[in-house]
Order: sequence, then C-alpha cells, then structure tokens
Amino acid sequence: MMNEKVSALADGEIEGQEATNELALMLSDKAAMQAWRDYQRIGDAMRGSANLNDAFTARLMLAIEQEPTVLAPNAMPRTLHSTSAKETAVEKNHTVQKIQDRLPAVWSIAASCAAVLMVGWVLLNQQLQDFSSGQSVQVAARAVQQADPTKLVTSPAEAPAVPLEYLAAHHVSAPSVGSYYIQAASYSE
Amino acid sequence: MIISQKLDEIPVKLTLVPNVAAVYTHGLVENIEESGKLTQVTASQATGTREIDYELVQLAQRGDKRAFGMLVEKYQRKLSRLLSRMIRDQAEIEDVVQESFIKAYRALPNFRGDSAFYTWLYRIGINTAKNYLVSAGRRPSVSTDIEIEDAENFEDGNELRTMDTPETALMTKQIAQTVNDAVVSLPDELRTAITLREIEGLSYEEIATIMQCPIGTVRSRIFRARETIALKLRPLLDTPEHKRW
Repeated sequence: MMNEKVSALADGEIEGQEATNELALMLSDKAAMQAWRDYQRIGDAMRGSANLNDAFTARLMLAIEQEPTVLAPNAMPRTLHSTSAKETAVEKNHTVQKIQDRLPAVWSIAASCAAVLMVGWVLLNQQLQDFSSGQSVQVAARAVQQADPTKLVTSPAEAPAVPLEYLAAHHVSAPSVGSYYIQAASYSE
Repeated sequence: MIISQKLDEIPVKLTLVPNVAAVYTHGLVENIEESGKLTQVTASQATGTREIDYELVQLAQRGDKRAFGMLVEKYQRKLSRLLSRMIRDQAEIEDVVQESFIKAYRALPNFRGDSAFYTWLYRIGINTAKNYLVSAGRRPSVSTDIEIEDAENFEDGNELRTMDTPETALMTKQIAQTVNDAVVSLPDELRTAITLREIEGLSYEEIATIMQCPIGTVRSRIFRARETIALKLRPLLDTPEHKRW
C-alpha cells in the first residue's frame, strides 16, 4: 500500500529512517508521485487555496529542469539516521568501538593534566609560603650578590634589609636571573 | 466553509495551541461557523512535516530535482495565497511564484535547516514580490509586513481579492465544488478524520484521541478519504501524460 504511506508522508506522520526510505521509493514511483500531487491539491482545496493551473506547474518544473543541477550534499547537517537500518547499526557499532579504543588514551591525557595541575598547585603554594615567611629577603640577598659578586651574603641575617616595595618597583629592570624569582615572589596586589 | 457544519458532531474539546487565535470547545466551534471563518490550528504535526521537508531538501541538494518538485507541489498554492496579499493580478502572482521557486532552487546550497523550509521559502517569496512591485513602480496593495508564522494560519479564501483569469476562476470553483461534494458524501468516520487533519491541522495522535480509535485506524481513514476524493477529482484534472512532469 504505497499510497497509504504517501498519505502519511504528506502529513509528516512517518519519521526517521522509514521516512527516508519511503521518500526514496516514492521518487521513482509515478503512481506515488501522482498521489502526492492529488493529496496536496485536496488539502489546499479544502482550505480554500486558489488553484494554480496544471500548465503553470508544468512550466515551473520545466524551468527547474533547465536550471543547473544543484549539488550541495553537505549543506545541511546530517540527520540523526543513516540511509539504511543496516548502515545505522554498523555506524553505531563503529562509533562505540571508536569510543572504546580511545578510552585508554583519554585516561592518559586526563592523568597527565591532573599531574600538571598538581605540580603547578604545589609550586604556587610553595611560592606563596616563601613570600609570607619573608624568604624574599634571601632572594634579595641573592640578587645583591649577583649584582656585586664581591659581596658575599652568607646568611639571611647578613642580607641587607631591602623593602619589598623597593624590590617590586625595581624588579623590572633587574638584570639577573634572580629577577624572575623577585617577580614571582614579591609582586602581589 | 466547506466542512464546518460537521464539526459540531465532535463532542470533545480541542486543545489550545499557543499563539494561535483558536480555542475550541463544542460551543465555540458553532460561533466560529456563524462568523464564516475557520482558523487553522498549527498542530504538533508541524514537527513531522518539517522533517519530511528536510529530507526532500537534502535529496534535492544531492541533485534530485524530483524531490524539489514534491516541495513545489506542496507549497505552490500556499505561496500563491500568501503573495496574493501583495499582488492582485493572478498572472503576476504566477510569475512571482515561479520566480520564487527558481530562486529557492538556486539558493538550496544556502539552506542549512536552521528554519523550517516553508519559512525560508516564504521569505524568498515575499522578497521576490517586493522587488517585483518596486521594479514595476508600484506599492503593494496591502501591508507587506506579513508574519511568516501567519502563513500557516490563513483564514479561508473568501477574503482573497485576486483578479483571477476566467480559466483559473472556473477551475478553482470546479475543484472546490468537486472536493466539497466528495467530502460530504464520505462515510462519517472518514469525513471526520480528513476534516480534523486538513482543516484543523491535528496530528494522527490527536485525531485518534478525539475519535477514540488507534492511530493506525486514523491513518487508514485519512488515506481512504483522500483516495475517494481523488477518484472524483482526477477526471477533472486529467492532463495528458506528456504534459505531466
């Protein structure tokens, strides 16, 4: 009963893969195409739509035939269903397999990210603790020593008392590697 | 309206569809009949129709012009009716409808499915009509600010003021009369089913609820009603084989 399916298709009452299959069959079935035309016309007549004569439709279709064929198969996103039930099942299995194959890699990546985050967190905490405990003085001591190697600073007690504000203000122009530590440890708002 | 006098046989309430000016109860249907108008309800079946349109568009985008032809068959009269609000002359309406469909076909690669196909088509139609009127140095006879959503909620054809050619006017009248006579002569259950579908725009599920029968029965009844009407209509429309597309 092809025409009964045409009737249901015209009402949008067939969905998914079945709709795709039935539409494909319909396009090559003259009787089904005629039924489609008739059912559309019946609905329009019942709703009082003015008629466009058959000559108009024939002219229009001739004009469409003369147009260059449109080929844009990827213009719209794919529908949720494949072109056949078999392909749907195969696609699903393939997709599931792909996901399963990627799982070990996914876990590895997740573990790596977690490790990086953990190390970063530890370092940050360490730097914050250093800052709060005044060990920036030691950093300052190292900076002073690098600037003037002749000066040997052996203990925090011997390190000159350099105000943190001074360090923060001058860290940009500090020439040595020590400026990195100054920048990280002392700059805070 | 053709079938409205039969609606009072349906002893149930129909649900309110948001944003559509139609609330149906048994009594209100009678009032609508008295006013001579019957507003079509936009029903949940729109989703299924939209999916079918998407399928046809995709087939057309892959090079199958017959699929586009099915969309032409489905929307040519609706588009014509929409544009008749802007253009009076029937011959000019046909020209604009034809140009609109050709533009739509050329623009198919640009259709991404973000909106319903008919919404997209109607926008093309309205723009084509506007351009046509401007190029002819005319202003549209009515406001062109037609809400696309209203395109599916047109009132019946009595309010149209198109200047039909004698041929189309006669054909329209004959078709309407043939369909009307065929529907009236249908068995009650077939007539009710086809009316709820075509006039009220209800889904099969909604019709099944109203008629208290399975959805499969609704589908069968609507199909049988259409086949019965088509049998009477086809001799009127019968065109030679070589003139069919």
